[in-house]
Amino acid sequence: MTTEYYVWDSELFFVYHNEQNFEQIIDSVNGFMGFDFYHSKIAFESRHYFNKNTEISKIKKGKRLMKLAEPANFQNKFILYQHLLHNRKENEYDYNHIQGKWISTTDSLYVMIFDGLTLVDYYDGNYSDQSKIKIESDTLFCWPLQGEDEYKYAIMSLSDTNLTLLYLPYGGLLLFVKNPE
Amino acid sequence: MNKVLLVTIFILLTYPFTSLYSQTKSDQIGIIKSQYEWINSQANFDTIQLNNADFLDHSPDHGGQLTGYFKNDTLIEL
Repeated sequence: MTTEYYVWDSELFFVYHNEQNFEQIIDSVNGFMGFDFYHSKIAFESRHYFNKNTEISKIKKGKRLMKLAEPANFQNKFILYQHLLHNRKENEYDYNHIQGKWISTTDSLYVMIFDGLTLVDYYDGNYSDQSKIKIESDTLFCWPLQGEDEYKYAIMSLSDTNLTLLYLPYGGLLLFVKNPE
Repeated sequence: MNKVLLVTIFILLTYPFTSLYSQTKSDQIGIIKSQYEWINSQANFDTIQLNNADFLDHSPDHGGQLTGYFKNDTLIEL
């Protein structure tokens, strides 16, 4: 399934959506052998035209494969994705450099691993916590999967080898070195 | 007979407005097609990619990916 969103002056103006079927591998003796994941054909496609954030026309062709798969509202999805991409673009240096494994210099048993927008904490080799993250204006926001707390850290410095965070609002400094692995 | 006359008058009176509306919508779709063609004719984008865990609240069978295409720091396609 592929959905393409087209943007003009920060507004969504066109969406092309399609759903593809993998071709079946049929053996003359054994019958159905599985799917050919290298070849697919479009089973359903739709074109959506927008003007001033309102859908003004829609063209559909074919039969839907997954009724639940289509976003209920392209406009809402677009606003979310646009925000995520702009945030990633505007903070590209920080997002790229913070990825990987960081070891605390004050307590080497404490380890943080950043993978995309996910942060996993370990202590003494044991899983401790997992959070979703966002970086904005040199500030790291963390939302643990359990609970509704929000933690904020000012990114004081970030390089290929060192990370310094300032826990807000109390001001505790956290120093990390990058694990070279 | 009076009903037929009334319906005819109604159609004649409202026709210019419905015609104008279709024309406007047709124009809008024409502009959208031009914008779509312009974007597809572009090259040398900056791209930003997010994996499914970073933008979806579920994991599709073969994973998911969100790619943003930027032209001069402006997002034009995703």
